[in-house]
Amino acid sequence: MLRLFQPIFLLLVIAGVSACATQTVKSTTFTPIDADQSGIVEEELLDIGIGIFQPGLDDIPSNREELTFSDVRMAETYFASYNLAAALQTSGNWGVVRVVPGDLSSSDLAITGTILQSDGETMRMQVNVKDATGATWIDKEYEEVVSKYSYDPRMRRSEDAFQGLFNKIANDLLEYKQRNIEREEILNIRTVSQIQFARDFAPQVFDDYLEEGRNGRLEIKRLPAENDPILARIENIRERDYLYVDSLQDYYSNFVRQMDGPYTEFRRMSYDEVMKMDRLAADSRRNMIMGVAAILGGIAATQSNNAAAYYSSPIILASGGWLIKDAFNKGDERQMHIEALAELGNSLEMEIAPRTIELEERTITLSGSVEAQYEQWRELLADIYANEIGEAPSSDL
Amino acid sequence: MPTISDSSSSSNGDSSSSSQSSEQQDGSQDSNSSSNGGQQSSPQVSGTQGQSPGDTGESGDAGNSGEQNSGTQAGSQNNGQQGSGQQTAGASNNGGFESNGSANGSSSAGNQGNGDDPFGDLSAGRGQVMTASERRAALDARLNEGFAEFDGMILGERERVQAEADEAGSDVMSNGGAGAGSGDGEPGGPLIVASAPSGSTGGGVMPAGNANREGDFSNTSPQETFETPDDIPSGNDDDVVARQLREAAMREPDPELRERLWDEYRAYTGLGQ
Repeated sequence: MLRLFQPIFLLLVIAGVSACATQTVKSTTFTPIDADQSGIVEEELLDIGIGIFQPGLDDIPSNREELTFSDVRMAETYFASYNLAAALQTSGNWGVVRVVPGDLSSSDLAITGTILQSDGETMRMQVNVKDATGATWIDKEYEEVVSKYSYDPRMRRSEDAFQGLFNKIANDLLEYKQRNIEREEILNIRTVSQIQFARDFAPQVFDDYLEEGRNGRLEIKRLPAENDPILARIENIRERDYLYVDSLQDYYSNFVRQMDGPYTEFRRMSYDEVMKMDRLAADSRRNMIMGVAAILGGIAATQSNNAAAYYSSPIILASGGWLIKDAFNKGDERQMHIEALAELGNSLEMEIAPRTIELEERTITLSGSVEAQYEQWRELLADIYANEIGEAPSSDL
Repeated sequence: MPTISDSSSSSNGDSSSSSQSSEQQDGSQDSNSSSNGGQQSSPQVSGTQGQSPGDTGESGDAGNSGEQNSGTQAGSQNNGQQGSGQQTAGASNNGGFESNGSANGSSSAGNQGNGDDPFGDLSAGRGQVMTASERRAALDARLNEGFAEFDGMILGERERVQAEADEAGSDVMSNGGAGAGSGDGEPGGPLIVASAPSGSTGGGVMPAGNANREGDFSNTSPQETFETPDDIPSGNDDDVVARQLREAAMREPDPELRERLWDEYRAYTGLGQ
């Protein structure tokens, strides 16, 4: 019987010990951002719209739910979107990079993303990039694990601890463009986005300028004249739209600036707590496994004909019991860290949630005003067009 | 746009729809004249229209074709837009338009704000027939009015946000990222202030990086400035919002928009009171 349990016992011990031996190499250095050395002419610069990232609250693993605070995660969506915009803008490889709360269809490139994990130690996010024609450039999960020294004030630079993750995305985007996108395609993308914008304001004019191809991508069916008066008016509107979006960047800039200090401090403390919790969880799991194995081994030893094994069985059983008790103790200790982390998170939530709500309300208010104005312009453009082609205006007179 | 297409949406209907427009004028006239009383505020766009029998005392307005009459047209249109909920524009935006006569605001707001009657207040009170080009000019004038108001709203909002940022302090911003070459980022200030209408002064901070990207930041280049009206003081004691409005007005090439911006400035600084 003992012979039967001995291999199992050994395997369990090895498994437990090997789990302890797993190491992750972390670093305070991060991926630098690449710049296109070829020199991009202005007409080949693609503007980028970044949607506010999704918080990913529905996709949190059950063992991470207690480490995730919804209000903090909501604030992180702005933080991450804005920092990605900063990385892309700083690279100089693109045109204007903006965080856009709504429709991205008239952007040359549209970036959307979901935060999958963010706990101070690890940030994971799913990122999708499409161009105006609908072609997917990137659909990939990114992960960055940082060292605790990333939060050390003596080591910390002006960049975010997870700057490397944003830089990786920016670098991948540049690499994709350099490898796959020719100049003609860039111009095509820009034209499509321009027509998309025009179509949004004057669908009766521009609806049939684009069509969906067999591959699901938008293709240019016809082009407006360079001196198209309706298009000229829409270009005026688009300049206003840029100005409006720039105003939103001011909102986001202020928000990120305000949350940066407390949020970074939270992540620093969260990092410590998460590390301790993970270590305790691993220790608890290992001790539980070893304790159970020891008890099974001890029970087996009591049945042994071998005197040494027989007389050592109480020690083995006691050891197993101690290991299981220690596993429970570590579980309790872990729970204390969870509560400490919850206190930290709640404290940050209380500070950050009102700002997030204010930001959302402001955005909605400004967007509502702008959209009301846009709607009036759409009606005016429709009337202008009706007047141009000699039709009666759509409105009742 | 890289190429020219076979189609243009423009200008093939200038000579048409006179009968339609006649009906339109009649319909709109009724509603506006009844609600506006003396029709003092109705934008009078057509310079060639005859007087309708029911109109009173409007013969002097015949020269307004295609022009923005800031004292009348603004009253109807902008009140209509305010009705759409642009209260965030702040005091600087509202003041300039409210002074144009509140008595007619509600009636024309219904037309403009709801989009029910796009030409109603253009020909209100006359029963006159507008030509297609006159209509186009009137609609363009409305569009330009909207631009001016929009610019004022956005500029005011940006100034407000900037002022708040200044109050909150600007020493904790870390927006740079690992800049290629520079590496230090660009602390402080709005990150992305790239594009602005030609008449605005939204600022332009060119991020570190590719120096060829001048097209996105051309709004910082020197622009022609226009003379200030006689009633505008030196502006030495202007606050940031007033200064923005002043600069926007001085750089606005379109005289109509420029005048609207000056109206905004007057309203904001209290000159009109």
